[in-house]
Amino acid sequence: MRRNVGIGAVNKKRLAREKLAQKGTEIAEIQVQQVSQQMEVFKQSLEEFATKYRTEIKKNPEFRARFQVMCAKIGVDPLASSKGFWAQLLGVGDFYYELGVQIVEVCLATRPTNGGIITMSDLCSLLGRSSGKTRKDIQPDDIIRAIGKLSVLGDGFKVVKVGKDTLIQSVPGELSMDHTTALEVAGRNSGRLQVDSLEKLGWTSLRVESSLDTLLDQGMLWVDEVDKSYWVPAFFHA
Amino acid sequence: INPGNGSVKQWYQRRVRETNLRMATDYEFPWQYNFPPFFTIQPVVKTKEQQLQSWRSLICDYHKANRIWEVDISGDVFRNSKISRQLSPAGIRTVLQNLVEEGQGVMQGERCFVLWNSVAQWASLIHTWALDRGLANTVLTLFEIHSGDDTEGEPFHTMDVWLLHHVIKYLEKEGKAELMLGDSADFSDAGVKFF
Repeated sequence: MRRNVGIGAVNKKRLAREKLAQKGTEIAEIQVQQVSQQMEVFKQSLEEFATKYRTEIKKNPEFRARFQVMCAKIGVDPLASSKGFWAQLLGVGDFYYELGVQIVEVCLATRPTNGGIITMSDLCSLLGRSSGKTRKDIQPDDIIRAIGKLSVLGDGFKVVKVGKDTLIQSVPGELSMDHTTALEVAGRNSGRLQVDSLEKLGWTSLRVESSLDTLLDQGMLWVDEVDKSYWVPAFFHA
Repeated sequence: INPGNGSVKQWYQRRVRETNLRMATDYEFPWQYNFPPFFTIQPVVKTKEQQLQSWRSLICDYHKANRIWEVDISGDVFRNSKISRQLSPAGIRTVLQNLVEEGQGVMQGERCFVLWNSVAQWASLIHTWALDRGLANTVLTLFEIHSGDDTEGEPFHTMDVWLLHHVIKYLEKEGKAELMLGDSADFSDAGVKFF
């Protein structure tokens, strides 16, 4: 008699297959169980982490920045919504929301003087002063993220790089290349801008006049009649 | 040491008060004072409005801190020698005109008095002081009010006499005082009765 042929063998094979399948299911089940257990452990650790470090995240800007990087690596956005899992757990969404509101307040308050542009460093120091409490050290990174979130409300607020300075613009409208160039020249000279420094760039007098007029109208530039120079209050520090 | 009226103790107390007053007047100019364009009246309307508002604050805070009642157009307020800038005469006129328009200054001919408190506020302060001291229905000289021992430490102590009479006329209109002018044009014999 040949082995493994015939009905017996078929049945045996079927049985073996069934048992294997069963085993497979069992193993799968165990795996799922293990994974859920791991998830449970992970979730608990996360909650502990969140509770333990929530204040730290609010208080310490370096920690906050590193935390953001870590989240980005895992593929989590804690700022996505203040109702989100992470935001609820860590209360981080609120932090940036509150910061956004304060940024708007500071920009509106300083707009009459600077025409709607303020340097990043001025904004940081004004924000640090106004909130007191747990938030002493607002970093440019925080401001950029908060403004990023504000942008969903419209484009009144943007971050503009002018030379080596970073400005926050809180008035609608685009600053043209010419405007930012003029501001940059002023920025390199403690806020002071003279017509000939723009002419040295090869600008025609019409081009110079047009840029200066727009910036003047916006209130971003003041004129000094004594030496016919222009000044950017945002860049001026006594 | 010349004790003046009363004892050495009173003299000493007065000196302490005066020193405290002087220490409180270390007025710090705002950043605009060191900003050269601040001394040019800005051509752009919105910027000018902002500028004039800053000038009003500067003028009021400066005069209040130094207890100076009348504007001196050749004074420190309108010039900053450190940056070689000063408001032109036309600029000063614009600034003072705006000050008066906003109720923070009052003109008497060519003289401009700074109202860091409004006339109504001064009226209320003086009237309350008089009633609190039980001086209603008694006649006081204007001198006693602006320079008497009894008003030392009060915010209206050292007030210019013309300004004082101006405030009392306001009280008169409210029916809270009666001004009694004497013969002299400088109010040295003028009096008031509070109700």
